[in-house]
Amino acid sequence: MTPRPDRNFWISLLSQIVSYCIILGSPTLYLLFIFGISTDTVLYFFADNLLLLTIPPGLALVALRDMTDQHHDPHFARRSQWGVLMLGGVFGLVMVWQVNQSLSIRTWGYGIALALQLTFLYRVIMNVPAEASGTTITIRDRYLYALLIVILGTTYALTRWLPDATILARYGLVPVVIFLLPGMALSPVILSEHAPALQRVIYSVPLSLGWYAVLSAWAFQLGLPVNGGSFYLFALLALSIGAGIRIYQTR
Amino acid sequence: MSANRATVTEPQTHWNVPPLFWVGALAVMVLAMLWHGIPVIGRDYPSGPDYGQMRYAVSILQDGTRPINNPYFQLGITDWGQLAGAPLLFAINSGLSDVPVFESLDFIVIFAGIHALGMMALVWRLLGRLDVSVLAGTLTAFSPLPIDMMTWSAYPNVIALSLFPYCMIVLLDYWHKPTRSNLFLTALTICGTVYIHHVSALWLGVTLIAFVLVELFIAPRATLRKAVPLALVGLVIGLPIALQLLALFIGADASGSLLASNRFDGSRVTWEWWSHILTPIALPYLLVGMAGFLKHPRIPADGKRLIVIYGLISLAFIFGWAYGLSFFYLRALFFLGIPFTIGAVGFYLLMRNATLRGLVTLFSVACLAIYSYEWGNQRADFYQIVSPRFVQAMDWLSENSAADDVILIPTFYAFHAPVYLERPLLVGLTPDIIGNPSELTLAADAVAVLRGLTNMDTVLRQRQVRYIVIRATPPDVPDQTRSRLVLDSHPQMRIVFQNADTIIYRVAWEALPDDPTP
Repeated sequence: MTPRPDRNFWISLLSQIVSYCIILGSPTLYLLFIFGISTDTVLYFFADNLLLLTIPPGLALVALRDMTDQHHDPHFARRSQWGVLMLGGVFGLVMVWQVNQSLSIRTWGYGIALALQLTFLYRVIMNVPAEASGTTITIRDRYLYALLIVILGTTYALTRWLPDATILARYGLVPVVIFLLPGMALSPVILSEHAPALQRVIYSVPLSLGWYAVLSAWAFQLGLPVNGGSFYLFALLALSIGAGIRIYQTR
Repeated sequence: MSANRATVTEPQTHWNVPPLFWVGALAVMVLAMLWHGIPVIGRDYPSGPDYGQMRYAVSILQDGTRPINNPYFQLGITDWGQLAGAPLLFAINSGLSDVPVFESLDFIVIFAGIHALGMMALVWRLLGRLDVSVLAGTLTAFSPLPIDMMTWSAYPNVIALSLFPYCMIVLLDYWHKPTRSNLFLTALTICGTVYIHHVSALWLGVTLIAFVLVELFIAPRATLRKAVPLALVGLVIGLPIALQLLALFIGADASGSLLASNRFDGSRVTWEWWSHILTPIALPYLLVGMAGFLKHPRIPADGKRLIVIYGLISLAFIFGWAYGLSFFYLRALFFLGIPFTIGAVGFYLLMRNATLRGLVTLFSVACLAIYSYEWGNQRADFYQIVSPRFVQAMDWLSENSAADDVILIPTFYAFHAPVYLERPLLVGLTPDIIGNPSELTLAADAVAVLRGLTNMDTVLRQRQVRYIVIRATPPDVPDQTRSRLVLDSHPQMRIVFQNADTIIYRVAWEALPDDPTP
């Protein structure tokens, strides 16, 4: 008498159905698009529906699966990552060659970038344990404020007095002043004093943009003029408030 | 089982990440900027028609305040109804770097990196796992949604959507730990994001209200203790933003537009649009992946509720025509980016076998990247509006027309023309793309001329249109082919300038017969 298939059997079967549908359907669909095949061909119909076919077995899989039990196979990952790099490279080069009709430096750049990212992603997926734990990188406040003051001053000097250095200021320093500086300046006050560097960086983005937006909105409302100089003042204000409160707290 | 239950509401508040997280963050930011930069970098003129925002930024820097109306656009007589946030960011970039606004449009590309980093951080915040964080960042970098928006220069939406993950992170932080600093952080973040654009403000507002209502149902007192201070502090910090938003919604008759208008019927979402903008794999991601995400025991319950509410609201706008909600349905599709990525993460978590999981992820991501690259290029070519020949046509018009000559112009040229030409413009926008109702009549008049409707001659006389500028080849809105047929066959039109991109007609409106209607 044949034993009845258990839960693992069904999970394995459904996973394979879903996976093969995607592994077959995705490249077919996108290659058809890349090579300009008409959307009313049978192949398109086939590829489109192959992806949609994953929905019923996928939902059954959700019902059966305990979502935390994932298996990892680092040996397989190590063996296969060079294959992934090559596959990504071929993918990338075909893609950009088809679009640009040439293999220029830009084409190579995009192809290589795609190959590297696929390999990196693959490596992370295959090697990392389920619960990642890491290290804490903290920033000392005094160095942080010194750095921020230097950045703000250098940006002003380069943009106002050395127009030849526009590229460095525009693509290197100004984005820091816009996206990070007010947030980083206020983060020691708002976040925990032991907040890891990543948390400060991440939270600085909305904090900085919100800071500029709210101060500008108030300036508009009160009839105060807003111009290039005002934005330097807003950044300086964040620096002064952040540093002032930190000095007061540590006294 | 009990261990799983114990972790259901436990937040992932730690940011002690492995070094590979930093490598991944840098990689996805660079990739996002490369892929999203396709329409902007490497072209003489960036693609897309919607550069009114940049005109607004120029006005801020010139006058030091919010402009009330757009000089020349729609004869300069309509309100400039929009929130100042997105143009303000361009003004900040221009003001700090001392580079003119129209020469620093590539600034928008940075938001692609910000978006990818935000999604990576949001997934880390929810699950605390490196693999899914890198996957979320990579998918965001390659997602065709923001790339498509870049090509038609929907920069305010690109900016607002890039900030949504951060809003969710700080809101969840505040919800778990309602301290004063978290309160200030959340209020400031939400105010800043709301200020970007009225559509994204609507999304964020409705999502927040729905989230609070659901939380009220679950834990009324605790929710009130968090929601009331947030609302009050938000109102105090963002009072000018709230006032401007209110004036905008009243001025634009937002409730009338949302409930009683049929001008968006042409923008209903079809499978063709879905498969181009979201790709077909989005459907399994949203149905199966999202179900998997909801079942995962490590994700905090309020995080799940927030994501689901946001997704449901997006779907409610996308399919609003089914129950009488009027909206630019196609635009609502672009707000599914976060559920798309979260769904993909849920789909990934569903795969137990490492080899299958790796292969499925690899194939999906690679194909998405290839598709997005090609789609971005195609769309950028489609929306490549400004060219040296267009600039030449504008120069000709500047030299050969009087300062008060009215120029009639279709949609694609509408926001570019005022950069090169200081003349009153009558702009042919179709109703579905008009956000400001005060423009409806003027735009309808311009469209009547470009489509050759029965009141065409009346409009030409009443508005005293002297020149009409159209593109020499499609596409445009209204349809360029029809416009050209109409104008070529009109007895009082004469082509006075033509090159491969642009045609200019001179209108002898004085020779048109008097309007027979009273």
